[in-house]
Amino acid sequence: MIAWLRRRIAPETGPEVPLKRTGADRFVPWLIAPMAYLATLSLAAVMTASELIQGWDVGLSGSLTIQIQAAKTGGDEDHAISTGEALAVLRDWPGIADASPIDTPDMAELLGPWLGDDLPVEQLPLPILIDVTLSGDPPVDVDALSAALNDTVEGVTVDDHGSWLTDLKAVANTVLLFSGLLMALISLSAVATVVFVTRAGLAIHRNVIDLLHTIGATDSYVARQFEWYAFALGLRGAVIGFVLAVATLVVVKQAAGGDGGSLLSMPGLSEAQWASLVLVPVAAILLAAITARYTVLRTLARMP
Amino acid sequence: MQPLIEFENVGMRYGNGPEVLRDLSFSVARGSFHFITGPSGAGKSSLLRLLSLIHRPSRGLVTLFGRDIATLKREELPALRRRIGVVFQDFRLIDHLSAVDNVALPLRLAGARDERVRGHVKELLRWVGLGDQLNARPPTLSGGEQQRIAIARAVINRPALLLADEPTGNVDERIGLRLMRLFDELNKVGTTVIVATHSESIIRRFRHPVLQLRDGQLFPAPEEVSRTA
Repeated sequence: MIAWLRRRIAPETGPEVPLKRTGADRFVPWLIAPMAYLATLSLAAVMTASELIQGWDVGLSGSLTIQIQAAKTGGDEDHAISTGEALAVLRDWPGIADASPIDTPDMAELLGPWLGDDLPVEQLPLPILIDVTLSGDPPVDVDALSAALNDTVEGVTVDDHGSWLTDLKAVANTVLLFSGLLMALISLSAVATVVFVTRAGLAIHRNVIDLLHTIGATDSYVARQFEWYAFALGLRGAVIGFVLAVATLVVVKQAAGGDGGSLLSMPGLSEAQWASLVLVPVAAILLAAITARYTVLRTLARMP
Repeated sequence: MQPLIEFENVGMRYGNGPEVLRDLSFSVARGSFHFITGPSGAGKSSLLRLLSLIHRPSRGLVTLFGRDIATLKREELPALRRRIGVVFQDFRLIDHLSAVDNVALPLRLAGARDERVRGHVKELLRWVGLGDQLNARPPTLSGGEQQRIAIARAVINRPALLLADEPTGNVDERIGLRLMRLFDELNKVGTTVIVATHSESIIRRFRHPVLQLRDGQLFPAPEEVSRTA
């Protein structure tokens, strides 16, 4: 396939420098493969973390959770009175689009991942939770709302999710930062490997390169042969690493439960994001080819 | 007409070593044929390295094709080198390429079309007596056969200047004469030829001017060289 590509894209590239025969370069795909593997996983981590942050922002920034403590409520009748009074305040409050209590089946579903599905929720002293959706206009003064609710019903807390959302965002941003750093380090390692291998190739094949120059070859002609060789090595390594990384992601997705029903569920990658992972091997191959070319041109430029 | 090659007080050394060529001053007219002779270590190969643009002079002025080679930019060298055919003493063939591909190399570098290249190359290889070795790799051939491939490679693109270092050193007399006649034919159609050789019989037979080197200097004195040239 590489030979076919070479004939199509650069038919003038010669086979004079016997790079394939060196033998020492055979390990290169096995160095590039783990790099491509880690880079693909890093990119997936970056996309997942971004998706998580975005999901939390969209899901929580436009809502509040009202909690009426269980100790402050008595039986079912008291429950209903407290809930009704709180709902009356909430529905009249400017900037609130909707307020609805979380009923027992929903509560059981929320607690299921922690406490199991057979939980007798109705027998537990659980607080009343009211899910509030904000309209955004005007902005809701959470402190004023909390004071108004507490004037009506005792023991009410208003949670705008701000503090834990900030913490989660910080964690997700750290993951993003380290993933980016990891990808940069992987790229640097790949570049260093290709530079080393290319320089070794130049030294080993010095006689052939000198001969080509004497006959009239340009530096670019010589560089193209190294470039294509690095392309071929990069292609092999990148494909191996990419396939293994995709397999790993599929296994992780299965293990974490991609349907969102478990505690560890993560947002799955969209089809476009899966497709964008292909950018990693493509970038690895191009990086290898460009690095080899640049290394050869720089080295030859220093020759007499 | 301006000479093809002009040397003025040229010296050359490898790295920080002693001068291997000293005070060379001579000129070579376009279309001429010269022999370079002298004992081993006299500087014949070094002189050919200067002329084939592999090395640059340490001092003095070397003008080739009207250009001062000391001031040539690196990117200008390939075009000039393509006008020069070189037969190396150690052949310098590429072992993993066939005879055809070795000989075709200068044409490929010049951007000639593949089908045209193969036709020319096969014809030339037949002419030098290697018609049945077209696809042979150099390591499987004798020294003489390798030398003929090296010569075919040097002349395939009809260079303006042909440099040959002991081109008949590894072939029998019959093949040697045939190769020298090939050089003569090329010379007649305008190629300037410079052959470094130890063979007095060749020098006597072909009666071309001789540049004699001894200890890196021309001998006899440059004036006499010019006169014989």
